Amino acid sequence: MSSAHYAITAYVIGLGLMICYGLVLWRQSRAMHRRSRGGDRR
Amino acid sequence: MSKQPTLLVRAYWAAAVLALAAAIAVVLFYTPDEVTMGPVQKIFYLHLPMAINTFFACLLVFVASIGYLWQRSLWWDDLAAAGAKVAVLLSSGVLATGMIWARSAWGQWWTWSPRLTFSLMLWLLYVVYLVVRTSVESGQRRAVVSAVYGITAFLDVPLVWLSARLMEDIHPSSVTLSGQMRVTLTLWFLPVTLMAAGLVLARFNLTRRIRERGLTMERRFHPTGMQVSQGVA
Repeated sequence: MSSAHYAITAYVIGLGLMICYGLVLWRQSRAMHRRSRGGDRR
Repeated sequence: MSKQPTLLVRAYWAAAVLALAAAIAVVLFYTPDEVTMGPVQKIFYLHLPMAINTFFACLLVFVASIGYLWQRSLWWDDLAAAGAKVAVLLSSGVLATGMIWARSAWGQWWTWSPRLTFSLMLWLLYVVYLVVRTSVESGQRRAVVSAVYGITAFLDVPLVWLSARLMEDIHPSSVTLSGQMRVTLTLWFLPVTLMAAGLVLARFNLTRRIRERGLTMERRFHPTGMQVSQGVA
């Protein structure tokens, strides 16, 4: 693997971790908002 | 308080995305390659801001843990939990980017140097913090145990910081950068810090909403109207 490939892999992993966690939180937040708007039917 | 993402939150994330796009463009088209290491040296512009933000996240856990023990408010406990989650995330990134750089620069993924060993310990300490939180049932008891642990775990942060300075270490303790490289490094602190702070706030807000909702449900359905448990880890 070349030096540039190592750099790209590191950026994808480092930024990917933060972006994926952000998306997970966003989805959970949206689901929570939808549930509280629709009322709880348990 | 509105439960929908406000304009301010959207503007914050838009600013973070813009700063990230600018930082990526700068590292690709403006920053020169380092003479001896080549393009792999550019990992440093992500690695260092992530490492510094890991320290801030650990500091947040430390301060929030003291806050909890002082005021016994679960608000502090939720803040500490959000900080710990982001600390684990960021330190995972620091370890991964560091290992990739080490593979290219030193020819090996890992070596048991003081800085690397204390960094791995930091990651493990905060992973265990999250495991401890899920293993204690009662809300207040979990908060006390987590707070004491959160204060103790922070002792590793100065060790990580000082290890490469005070002990013989293959990990560089300081780096000399040219003008363009210094601009790039400074610029990269902006998106990484914005994203790290945004993730802590998003996690904290979500936990608070889950807790509020849980309490509302318990009041509505428990015959005595009493609080039974607070199941937010």
